[in-house]
Amino acid sequence: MKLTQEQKLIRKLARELAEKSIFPLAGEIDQTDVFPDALHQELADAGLFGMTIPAAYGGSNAGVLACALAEEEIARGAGVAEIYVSSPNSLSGYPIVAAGTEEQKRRYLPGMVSGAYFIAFALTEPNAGSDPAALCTTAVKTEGGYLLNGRKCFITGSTFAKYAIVLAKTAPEMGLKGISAFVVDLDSPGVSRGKGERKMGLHGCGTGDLVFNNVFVPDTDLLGKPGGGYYLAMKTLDLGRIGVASQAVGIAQRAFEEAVSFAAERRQFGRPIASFQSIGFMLAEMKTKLEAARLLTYDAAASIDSGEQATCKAAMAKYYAAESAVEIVSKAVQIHGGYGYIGGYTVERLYRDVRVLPLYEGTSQIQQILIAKDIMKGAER
Amino acid sequence: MKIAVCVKQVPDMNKARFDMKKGSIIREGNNAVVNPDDLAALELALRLREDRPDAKITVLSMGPSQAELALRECLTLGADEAMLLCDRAFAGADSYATAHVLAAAIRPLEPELVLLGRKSADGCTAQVAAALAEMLGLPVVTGVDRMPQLSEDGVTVSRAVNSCRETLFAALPCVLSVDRSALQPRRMNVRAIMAAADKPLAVLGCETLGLAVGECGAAASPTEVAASFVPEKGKGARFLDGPLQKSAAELAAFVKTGKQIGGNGHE
Repeated sequence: MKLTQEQKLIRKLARELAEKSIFPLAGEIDQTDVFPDALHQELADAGLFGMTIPAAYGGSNAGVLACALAEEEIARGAGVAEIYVSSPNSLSGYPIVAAGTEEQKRRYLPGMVSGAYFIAFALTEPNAGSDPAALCTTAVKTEGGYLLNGRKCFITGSTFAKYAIVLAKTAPEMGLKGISAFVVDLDSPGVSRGKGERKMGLHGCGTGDLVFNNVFVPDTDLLGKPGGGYYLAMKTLDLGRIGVASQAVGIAQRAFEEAVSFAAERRQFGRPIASFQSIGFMLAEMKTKLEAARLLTYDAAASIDSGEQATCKAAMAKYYAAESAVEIVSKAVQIHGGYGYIGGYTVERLYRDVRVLPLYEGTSQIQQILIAKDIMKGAER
Repeated sequence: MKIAVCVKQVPDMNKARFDMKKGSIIREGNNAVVNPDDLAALELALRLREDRPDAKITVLSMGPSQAELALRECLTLGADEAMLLCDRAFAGADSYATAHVLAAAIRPLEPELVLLGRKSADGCTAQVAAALAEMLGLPVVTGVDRMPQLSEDGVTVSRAVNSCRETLFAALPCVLSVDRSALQPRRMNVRAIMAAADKPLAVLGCETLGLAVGECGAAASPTEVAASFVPEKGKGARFLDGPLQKSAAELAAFVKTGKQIGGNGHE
């Protein structure tokens, strides 16, 4: 894929930042579950939080492909660091850019881009993961606003976000067309935050419940039109999925590099294990899948940049990259032998980090549904 | 005031892999960087401009088309315009032939200051600055490692020479070569990358520079690399095992003998 000079420079910037500032801290972030403020600010100062945000609100409008390139490099440093970059560029930024009023854009975007605060994206509920029609959170119209009630779970950044984009039913009888989106100030009366979940991996970004108990949300914080929330969320997820695909490519790339370097150094039976065909074949398969995942991801990103409807491409990229990343990391552990199972080895962390990729932002099975739907569009008689 | 900064795109030597058979660096596009000493030279120019807002910084590089990326990075960091000196005829240039092409591009700019890194991270000859100054007929100070002071008629610079420090005054225009220890270069950010996308970058070849093919590249290079090799890593290395005290004593005894490490026996 041909990249512009700007895209190449953004990739270089992200790679250098990752190698200098994330590589040395990744193990500690994993162990302590704390993402250092200084690193968060460094990501913000590098302009990585505003790549899909217009310049008028502090961003650079560098585009989705540029963003994917940067996210891949950051994820190569640490999967969790990519979440901090991906969120403002997709899940939290896009709904405001796409549906927000001028006043909402000015109020929420600059602080998010500068790293002053994090905006969470709250769609998932205990009984509504893959099936948003089952949402139970309601927003009932009242004088000057809405009263929000319900519980969201597995919300990234729930423990520290200042705001959340919350999907709630404003007209439950209308199904998906009765879902609306709101920007909710998480310091409002009636909001409570659950304890951060103890996750298998991707430590360093508090993930948990947000509970809304008669939370008043003013009319001015309704995002887009009433009933437009589901469509907005689906468009948002197209971008989010490219983020996950990029994260998958970055994590898999790192695992691949670790495997190559281990295979070259580790000697058994008097020679480097890389010289055994069984290891060589594993590396060949890893590399091929990695490149295929990368190209699918870049293609989906470039399609969005050129204004195409890219739901299917984004789903294919996310599906393939996430599944391949799990395989690639697993093979990297295999190549490491017993060492791959020991804490402190990078591949051990990657193995835990990578497992969520086929789960979040739509499971692999949801991606398959989206792809299948697209294939059959207009083909059924 | 006009400042010309010469830069070279080099492999990132922290990541460089070597072709042991050919005895050369494997040049991989993804790991190319702006030569670190040259980045320090650009940083110096950018800081001089802070007190001289009228200063215009032109950054030049002789190299293949991929070197455009190095120039784009310099534009992102704050240079005003860039020139890529790119022609098949420039291939295989040694430091003399490189300086010849750079001089041809710099002469019409009539800069008050010409800055470049002390040496390139790959070739390491540290000869281009002196050759360029000679060809331009300008004074040169090499190895500047402190922020210089500009005055109306010249520049006061400082550099380390053996165990001394020299302070020198050079009349303008002049050529300064800069050591990377001089200044920590600033870093790019995405906004600056996008904002610099429209800055002017000209690609100039032999003809545009008024040079004949025969006076460029390998054909015009008086030096020739007879052979190159990659020193075998760890060859002759001895690992000191055992308790720390014992290893330290062994190491001290080894250092005292002096000769193996090229010393003169001083304790």
